[in-house]
Amino acid sequence: MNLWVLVLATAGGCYALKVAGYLVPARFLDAPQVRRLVELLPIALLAALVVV
Amino acid sequence: MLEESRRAAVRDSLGVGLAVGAYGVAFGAASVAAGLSVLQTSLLSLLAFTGGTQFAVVGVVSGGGTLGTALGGGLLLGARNTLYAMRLAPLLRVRGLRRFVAAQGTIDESTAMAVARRDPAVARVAFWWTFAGIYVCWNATTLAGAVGAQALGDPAKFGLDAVVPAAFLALLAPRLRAGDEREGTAEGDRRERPHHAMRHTRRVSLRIAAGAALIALALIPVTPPGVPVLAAAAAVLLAGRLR
Repeated sequence: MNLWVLVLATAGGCYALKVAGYLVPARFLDAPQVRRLVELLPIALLAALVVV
Repeated sequence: MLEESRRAAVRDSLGVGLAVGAYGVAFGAASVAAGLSVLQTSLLSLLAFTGGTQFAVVGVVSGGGTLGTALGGGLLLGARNTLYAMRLAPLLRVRGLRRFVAAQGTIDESTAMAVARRDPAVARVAFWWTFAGIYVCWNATTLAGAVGAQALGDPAKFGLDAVVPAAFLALLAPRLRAGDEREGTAEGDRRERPHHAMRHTRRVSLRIAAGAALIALALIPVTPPGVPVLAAAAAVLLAGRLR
């Protein structure tokens, strides 16, 4: 695996995800499915990461 | 009065910065142990600047996973910062270039410290000082951990390989204890929510966590590194949608 590609893609991707939140309209958050999804996703990921 | 709560917010924020920043040592060491250079390790902390993702990515590298699974797991975990940003945008009221600075500081701790404040002016103080404190500490300790691990040689000998699951557990535990408290999304309506609804949220969180852990454990022997985590997240979310 090319570690430089991974490092730069992770950095760029993470920053883009943060910026996106400031650019999308706030009403996107009103959808309960969206809220649920983004609340439960980290729980699932972190729990899986603890055991892996 | 406002001055006093501002000062308190600065004090609390710097305290959180120091405490969380200490984890940077663990990240720096884990990253170098996984095979990244000191420069690559430091760039992850400087540019990606979101602990969970950083640990996830180097974890997959260390397990011998592919670029796709490392990046996939890392970015999915980083997607929670998008939600934090949406929550913080109206509170911070940042415009123009400042938005792009605020974006870099939008992480678990700065969001939690900001949304916990009732007064928007104090919330802004809390956000910026938590960001500043953690940014300085996290990057300094990352470098120290990376350089230290390089000097020590094989980190497994010193038990450093155990810090990665511990770091994930530290990120997970408050989410399970407090339902959606740390998410910072439901701050407003939490107060009005009845107690049984909070208990329900907590039960769902626990079930999600247990389900994800079991799926990941079952897949470890049969799939390449990184895949169990992605599959666990996908399966759990699918189950959530179907219900």
